[in-house]
Amino acid sequence: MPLSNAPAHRRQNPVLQWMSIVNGIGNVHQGTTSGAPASGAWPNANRAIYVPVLVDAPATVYRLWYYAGATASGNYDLGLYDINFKLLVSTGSTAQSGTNGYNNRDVTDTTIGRGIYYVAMSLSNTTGTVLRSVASNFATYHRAFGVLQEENAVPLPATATPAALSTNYIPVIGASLRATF
Amino acid sequence: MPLAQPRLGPVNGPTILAITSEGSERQGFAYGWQTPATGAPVANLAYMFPFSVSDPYPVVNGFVVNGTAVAGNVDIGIYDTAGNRLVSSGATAQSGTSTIQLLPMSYTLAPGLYYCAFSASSGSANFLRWPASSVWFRIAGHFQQSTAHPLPATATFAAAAQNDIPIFGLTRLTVV
Repeated sequence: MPLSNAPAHRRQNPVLQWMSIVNGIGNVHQGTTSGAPASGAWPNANRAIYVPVLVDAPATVYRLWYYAGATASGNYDLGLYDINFKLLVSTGSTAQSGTNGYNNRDVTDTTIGRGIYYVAMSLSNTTGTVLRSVASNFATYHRAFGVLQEENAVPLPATATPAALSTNYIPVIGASLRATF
Repeated sequence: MPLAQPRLGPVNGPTILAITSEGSERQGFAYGWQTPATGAPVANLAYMFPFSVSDPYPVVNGFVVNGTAVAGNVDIGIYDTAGNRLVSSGATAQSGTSTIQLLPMSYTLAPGLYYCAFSASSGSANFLRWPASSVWFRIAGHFQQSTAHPLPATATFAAAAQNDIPIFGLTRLTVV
């Protein structure tokens, strides 16, 4: 078959997360001092942090997840927003439990189209921890990649009103396009 | 046989800058491995990096990441591959230390290849920058132009010769 008849090439990883150069914002992590994410207390009570992910072809989101840090405390909410910041699906406010590992939650199967989406997480206090990335040049570096935040966001709002990121903190969060993760 | 469906490329992100997938990773490598640091650009030199969009992309802001001192004016613009300026912010006073400064503009890009350009009028202006050899910038498709503030209506592409590039870009967001 001639090359011109090949099907359209689209990239798609089974997991949507911001560190991916395929479905994420990629090189942001190269601006970190340590090069590796580490456990860190949530930067402000009830703050939501929105991190962009890219979807090149229609897909179904089955699970939302975060990587827990060393201490579990308070309530968290995980969600997926479209580019207009409409909440598509979320876990709802849930007590944080488990440490130092993936906390992945089944959510209503949600079919999404090609486009930009935001995976969001909020946490109700500053005792709970999450694995997070810290850039060497404060939040301005993360801001350049489109990471946003919102206060008073537990549970996550139906429509987000994001503001500029004020803290040097990106949680390791994402969405799974498979039922198992 | 015609294609059954459009050959769509990767979705663009909420921001477009040199080290996101619209930039270096499209070229097959990454040059952001070093830690960004603040510093001054060459006054009146236009820094230009290539990027492509796969879907219509509504640009609403250019932006720069200011460092610890501000001085003079800054300009952000978009050029087509022939060097025609499509839109620019125009020379704007640099404002706000250690923060992102938005430079409003309004232009919807059709799918294709473009160049994003930056110039600043003062060698005392301070920005967050990526350090890398000009070798890497050149093979990533970057160009530069001297005496280019404000950004000219027609770009004259010259080989990139700097060993760093200010962090600047475009976004469809109203806030970053």
